[in-house]
Amino acid sequence: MTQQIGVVPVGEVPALVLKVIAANITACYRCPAVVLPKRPVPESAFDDRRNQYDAGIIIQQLGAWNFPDCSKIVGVTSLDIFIPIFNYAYGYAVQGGDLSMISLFRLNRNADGSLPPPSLFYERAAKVALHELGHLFSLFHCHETQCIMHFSGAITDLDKIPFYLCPDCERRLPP
Amino acid sequence: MDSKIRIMIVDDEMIVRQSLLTWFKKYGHEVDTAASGMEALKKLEQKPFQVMFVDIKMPGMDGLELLEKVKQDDPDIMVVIITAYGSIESAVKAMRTGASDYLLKPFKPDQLSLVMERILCQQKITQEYQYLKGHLEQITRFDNIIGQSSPMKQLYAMIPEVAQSDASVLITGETGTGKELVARAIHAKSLRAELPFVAINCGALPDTLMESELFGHKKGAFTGATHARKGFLEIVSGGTLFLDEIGDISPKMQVDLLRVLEDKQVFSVGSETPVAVDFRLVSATRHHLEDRIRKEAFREDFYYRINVIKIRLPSLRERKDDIALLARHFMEKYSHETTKTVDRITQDAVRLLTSYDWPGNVRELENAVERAVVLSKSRTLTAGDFSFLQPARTAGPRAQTLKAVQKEHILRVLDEQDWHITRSAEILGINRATLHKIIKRDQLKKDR
Repeated sequence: MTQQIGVVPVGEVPALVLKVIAANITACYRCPAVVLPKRPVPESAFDDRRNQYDAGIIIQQLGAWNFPDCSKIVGVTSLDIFIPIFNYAYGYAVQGGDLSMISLFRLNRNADGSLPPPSLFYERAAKVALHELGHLFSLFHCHETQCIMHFSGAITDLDKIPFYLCPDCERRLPP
Repeated sequence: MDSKIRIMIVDDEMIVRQSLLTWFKKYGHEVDTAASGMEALKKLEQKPFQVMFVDIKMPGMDGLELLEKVKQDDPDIMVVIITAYGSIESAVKAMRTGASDYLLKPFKPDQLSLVMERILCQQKITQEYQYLKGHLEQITRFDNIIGQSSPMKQLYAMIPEVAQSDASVLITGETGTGKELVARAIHAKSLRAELPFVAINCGALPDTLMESELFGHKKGAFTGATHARKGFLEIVSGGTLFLDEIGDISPKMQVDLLRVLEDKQVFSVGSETPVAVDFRLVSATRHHLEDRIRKEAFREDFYYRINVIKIRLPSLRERKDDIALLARHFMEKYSHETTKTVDRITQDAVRLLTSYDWPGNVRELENAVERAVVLSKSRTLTAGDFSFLQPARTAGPRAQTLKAVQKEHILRVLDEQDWHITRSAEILGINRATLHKIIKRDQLKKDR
């Protein structure tokens, strides 16, 4: 099962959103995805000046845990994560690597501050996970707006992109 | 993604370099990092970058100083200043120095995305500009003759007109001014363009060999003539014959050629049967032939036969405005030929080249740039790369007496005018008698 993708909750994460993410990964990348047992949030990831969690440190910890049955991992947290140069991040992955991280924290608010319906929240979570997983499969950001690899810096952008890869990115996927 | 660019991130914090590197790699860009301004400058010497993200606060050289140096050397590089300690003053200073953007750390992901969109758009405009610049360069070039100075523009206008006629052309100019290039351009624009262009350097051939080369010979015409051979006058049939350094041919050869020009037929050596020839004659010389006529070293009737249209090529000293353009052209040419990336030349180097006298004209400049490109250790040619140019030839104040300067100047004018006293006196603004007196008094002598 070397091509299995592991979806790992880091801290408390609603079970349903994890299932939605796993199902979308299977549909989009045509490889099995499983939800793995919950892991604790590494304390060292918390930055008290920013009141946020460092995505890089969580990823490091993900690497330290062993997931023998999975070739790639998508960590999911409900906490607000950041990358040092950015104010916040929806997700983080090293290009061509094995580990990625997504945060649900900012997905449950619309741009005007209102709450989205649960279905939209699940959609957003799945899109961020599919996007970060694309980077693990060595896909770059894509100019095509109708592609999951199109960069979304804001929640409104995320709502505009689809759940699938454009034909160009589809071709670039490793066999 | 189709618009990949080369980006350098300059920040003393490793985590920032790493984050931005990871981010840009997601776009497929070619990314490199530097931990200090000095490291960045070293890397820039090795490889060109299109965009730089530069932190302001760094130990040693700060970001604004780096920005200034980078922009001095290559104004096309786009520099985005990033800082955690933003102030209006630093932002204004950065933008005035030429920064493309200014970002406060940490920034929103979409802010960086917007900056990159702007940069890519600017890159596209720059590429279009380069394309148009290339077209403009074609306008400033005429069949491999390069220059946009006023004497060259006059030359460009003259060549097509001259090409349309079939009259003999005499091109004069110092050595290395491009006389053969002009001859080739005249041929290329003429009705004979599809037919041969044959160039002979008369100065390089002894008289007997010249005769055989031009007129050909019959088998057994002389010792060693084991088979018959057609001469260039016959081979060129219908095309253009270019006789370089025509001032060096012997009086006998002048007579022989004059006869060919008048009769339009040749007798090969050892033959009594004439062969009809048809060619256009373009000649060139670095000498003042009028002077030679006076000394009876050149036939007047032959001179008027070859000099129906006269084109005088300016020396490089007379078109100093073209030196930078030519230097860049040769830099690109030899960078390409040697497969070395040498694509920049500093203002100091251009100033040095412009102040030099270039007695060997464009050919000497080409050789100098070739040598500098071959020996250059970086992608930038500096004044130091041209240190081999003899300082005595460069203009500028020197510790000399007024009398010495006067003597040197008179001697230079005389040399330039091939010791033609009337012309030299005219240029110097004195009468011939005075010039003769000075020559005698200062014991001025011709070089050769």
